[in-house]
Amino acid sequence: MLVKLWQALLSGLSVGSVYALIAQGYYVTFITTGALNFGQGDFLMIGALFGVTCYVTLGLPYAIAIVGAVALLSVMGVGLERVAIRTTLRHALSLSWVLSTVAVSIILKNAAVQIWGPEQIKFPSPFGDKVIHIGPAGIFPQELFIIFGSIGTVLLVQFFLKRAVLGKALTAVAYNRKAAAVMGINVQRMVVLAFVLSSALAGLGGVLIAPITFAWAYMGTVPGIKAFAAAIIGGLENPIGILIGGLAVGVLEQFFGIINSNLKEGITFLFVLLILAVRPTGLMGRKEIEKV
Amino acid sequence: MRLPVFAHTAPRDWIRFLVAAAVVLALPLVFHDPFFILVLQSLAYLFIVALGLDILVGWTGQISLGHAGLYAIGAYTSALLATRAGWPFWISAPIGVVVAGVAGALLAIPSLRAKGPYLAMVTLAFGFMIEVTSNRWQGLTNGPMGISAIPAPTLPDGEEMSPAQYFWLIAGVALLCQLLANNLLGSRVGRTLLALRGSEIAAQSVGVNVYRWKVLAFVISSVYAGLGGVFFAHQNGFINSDTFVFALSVSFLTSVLMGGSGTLYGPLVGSVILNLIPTVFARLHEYHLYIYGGIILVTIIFLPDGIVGSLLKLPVVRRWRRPPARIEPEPGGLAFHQARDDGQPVIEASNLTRDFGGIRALNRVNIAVRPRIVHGLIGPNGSGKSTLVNVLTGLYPPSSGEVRLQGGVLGRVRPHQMAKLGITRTFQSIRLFGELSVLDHVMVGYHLHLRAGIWRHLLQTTGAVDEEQLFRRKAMALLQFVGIAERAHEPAHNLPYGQQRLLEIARALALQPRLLLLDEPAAGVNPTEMQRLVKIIQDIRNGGVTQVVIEHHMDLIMGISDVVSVLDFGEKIAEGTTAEIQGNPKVIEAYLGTGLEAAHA
Repeated sequence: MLVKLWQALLSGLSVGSVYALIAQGYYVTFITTGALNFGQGDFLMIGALFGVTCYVTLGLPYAIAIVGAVALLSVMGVGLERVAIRTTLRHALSLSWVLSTVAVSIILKNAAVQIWGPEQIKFPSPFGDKVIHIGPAGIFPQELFIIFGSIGTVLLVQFFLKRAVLGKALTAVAYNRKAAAVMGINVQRMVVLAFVLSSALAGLGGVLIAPITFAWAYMGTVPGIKAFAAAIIGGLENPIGILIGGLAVGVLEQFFGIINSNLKEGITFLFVLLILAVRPTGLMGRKEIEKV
Repeated sequence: MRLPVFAHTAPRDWIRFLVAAAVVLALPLVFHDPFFILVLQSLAYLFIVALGLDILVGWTGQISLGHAGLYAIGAYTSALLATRAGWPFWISAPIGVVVAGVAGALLAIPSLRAKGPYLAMVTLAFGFMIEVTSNRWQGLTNGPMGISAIPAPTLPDGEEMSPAQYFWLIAGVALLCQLLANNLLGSRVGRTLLALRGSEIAAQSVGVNVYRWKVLAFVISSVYAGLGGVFFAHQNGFINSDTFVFALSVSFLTSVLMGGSGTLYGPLVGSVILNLIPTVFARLHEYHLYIYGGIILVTIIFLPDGIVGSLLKLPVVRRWRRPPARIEPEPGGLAFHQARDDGQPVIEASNLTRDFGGIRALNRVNIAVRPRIVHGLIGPNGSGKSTLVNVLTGLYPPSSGEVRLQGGVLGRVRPHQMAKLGITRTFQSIRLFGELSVLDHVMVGYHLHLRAGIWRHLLQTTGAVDEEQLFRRKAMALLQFVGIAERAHEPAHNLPYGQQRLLEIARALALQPRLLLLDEPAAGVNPTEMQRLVKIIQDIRNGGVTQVVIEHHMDLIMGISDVVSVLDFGEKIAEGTTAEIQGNPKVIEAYLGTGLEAAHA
């Protein structure tokens, strides 16, 4: 039993770190615009399939596949902001961006099927299939790479937001749009940057995760939604909360997977409902006091 | 002639519905094609779901990304009862609807306080949970293999309904659903939901129990979704888990937005158009996701008000709509709460303290408000005046200390319960109910006085309709009292700032409060309106209502107050008549600093 738990913990951390990576993208756009990309999972899917083209079809190095996917998705982030975010600001329903980003993701799915076909494509891991033993449990080298790559990237993004001038400008927009504009920051450009960053993270997630899951047009929906659940559990405005939330969701699923594989799929959603019933802004979110 | 129910439905509305009923009746007779009848059936039940979803989206401003889950619950419940227990449609169907309604009530619990993306997550998580359950709990649902041989409804003679007859059943129910939704949304219920959407805090201040009304909206919406699901289950005799997926929830939401949310007939237009599209483009299957995604984008980007919403905004249509009838103010309709003057304070706070994090906004404040007076409350910015009002009206619980009302100590009382106890307020930053008209704002103010509840409004009984009309006349009297009666039918946000403040007073007076707290009623008010405001405050006092007035305008406070309390840094530094306050050195110091400091500064 203990071995099983240990194994579940390792696998959970690897899946969870990808959730955390995607969710970090939700964080960046949410703090700047109050909106997020509901199609983030399908952006991840495009990243994975583009990785297939680079690494499997063209035989380019894995590193190039990563850089290529991140670059492609960054460009798509610009397009997403233009088509699905900027256009929805005057809509009667305040959450209309949910539907517009879902629409973009639906279109992407169709495109993916046309370009890469509907089948699952195998993406062999560049690090081989030799299991590494940590204690009594084993882990694939790719999984280790995912954990370190994702968490490293999350920390890098935080460093960028807190230390780099451009990152600070983005944070300033998040803090107070009007004041940032008065200080000469181009708010619109920062919003675009937020979506570029968010999309790039999804693209990276795709290339990271493809070797352990297969790549195909319908791979994105579930990780996208679960990463959203992770962000909500942690609290959308709290990057540390999101990181912990992502890892927790990954591990939680694996633990329940030991009991019953059917439970594994639903547990995250039950968990998020219970948490929101008690804490409407997530476990580590800011408690809002409305000023009157 | 007036019917005992549907008393508000005008002859032309009846004609409209008779025409609609005739069309429904004729459709399967004119077009015999079985496939066409099947499509008609689907359009009818999908419309019912969209209509229900719009009650949530268009009226309460909530979003649901999980309506496919509620639809699934209706479908599975009825299908399982019919196949496993062998119950007839006429019993299994209502149970399916009720179970969906109960699920909606449960779903409402985590939705109550969640906002924005958090709220989206609640409904999304719910939808996915049902999706996973239907897919994985094979013992119950048989997953993707599904449940087959679900019987069609039977006629009284035991025969199964023909496809045309089944269409008539679904479409007849759909028509009834639209009629009932019109009744509900055109009445007190729709008005209260719109008020919540505009400002929960302001709605609470006149006694609306926000949680109860949100649960109500969720339950109604879920009942409609469950009904649609039941009709779906018995249509083909087969259901499986592939239907109840996130994409279906998205399509429900899209049909509402395409038609126009918050417009009575938007869901009808949207769901018919959206659900006909796959039939029209059946040959382009390879590109159907492009088409579908494109449609959603076009809807959101180019039709932000939806088709019906955009049509209603056209100048031609606006001119064509008849203006609202003139309402005569009820003679003697202006009523104030009559306080007994037994010398006991109306409200009394002792040692009241309120902290926000490390900041102490109120520090051991004692205050007693005597009946039938104007009690002024002044102090520099940040001195704790608004916090005191917020604590006295139940918006924030005190950190320590107690509030006594007519001698009894109050426990944790929420704002709508405070309203029930006769305490209400206006707001420093004006809080109006979005698009509601001036008159409807006051009608929401009567919330606790209106007796007819949801059932009577659902059926529009004569009692409910008469009550509405009586209170409309009373509301006109109130608007006349504050001087904005001539603008009764305009959207409240069209009023100039000063009149919006007067409207807030009228809304609060509709409650007939024993204590009215006015939070900076003169802020942003021009000199003419100021004089009117002074007169109104005096008239309210002469009517017997106790008032607490927060103000920065010293002329106003010194002119109208019987007693003035002064706060500074969360503490009460002085209290007395206006003359006493004006000469009090502590007060002068709080406002101007000491001479010595000023000289050295």
